[in-house]
Amino acid sequence: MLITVIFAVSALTETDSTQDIENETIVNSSYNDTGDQAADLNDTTNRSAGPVSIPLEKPPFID
Amino acid sequence: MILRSKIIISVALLCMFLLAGSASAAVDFPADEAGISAYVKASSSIDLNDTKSAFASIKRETSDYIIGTVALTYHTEEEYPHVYVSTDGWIVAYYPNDRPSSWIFPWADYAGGTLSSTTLSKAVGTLATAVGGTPSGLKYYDFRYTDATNMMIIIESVTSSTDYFYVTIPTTFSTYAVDWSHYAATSASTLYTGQSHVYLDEGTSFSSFGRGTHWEYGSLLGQFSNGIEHSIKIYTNTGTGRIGLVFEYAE
Repeated sequence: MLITVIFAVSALTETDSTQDIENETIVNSSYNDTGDQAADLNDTTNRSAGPVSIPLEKPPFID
Repeated sequence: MILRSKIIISVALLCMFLLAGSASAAVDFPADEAGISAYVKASSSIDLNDTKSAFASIKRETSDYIIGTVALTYHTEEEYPHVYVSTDGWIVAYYPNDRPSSWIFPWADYAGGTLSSTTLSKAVGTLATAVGGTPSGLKYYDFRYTDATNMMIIIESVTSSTDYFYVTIPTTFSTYAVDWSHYAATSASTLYTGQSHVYLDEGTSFSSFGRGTHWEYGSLLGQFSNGIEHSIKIYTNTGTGRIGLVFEYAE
């Protein structure tokens, strides 16, 4: 997996890293929040909420 | 005679099987119409009469299921999720497949910071409450991109300022959607008239609003290359601006 490490430059507005998406609420505890960990998709910096990765799961009622 | 009887019995069993299949509400879910979706088995069974008052409109009704829209406070009717509910306990909230997945952002009542719900989870919750069930175990799926395994959500918010973040998609990933939604609520001051702009890689703004409260949706698929660091910047004066991204991908 490619992990690109990005450092926010000082000119950026500081954001609260605790303001992440409450993924457990979104999916009702069916997902383990990745929070500020290195994301599967990327390494993002300086965002207000997320990144959070939610599994896309095929419903059992679909053939 | 014995052979004939066996054939008749076989045909009868086949017919019973086919009829039983067609009576399954889940079989009739309109997968060819749905895009981003949230679903849950809310109960072992659902009395459809209990659900009707929860719908803002009913578009299709059979003895096995109902499809309609569910109202969301402060949202327009167009933004009401479509919801399928079946007698066998399934509740599926979805947007039609011509809409970006970023329709899940509940901008109208999102106050910033943590995002504790989506428009789809709200709709499922409304129906689950109506039937005395639970939305616990809610899952997401996109019927357009059957090979996508994950959805990533990122939001940037500003108040009368500029801010941005970076995203790099690994080269080994397959990307199916890069959908965005831009929200702004701006006013006028003695010096400025409210405006909000969002930029990809410091280029031309791909979404702009003037004074007032607005939000819109779109896609950056095709402009977001794997292995390349991309920046998303938002500038908003005299008010609040937000940019939300939804990536759908497979590792």
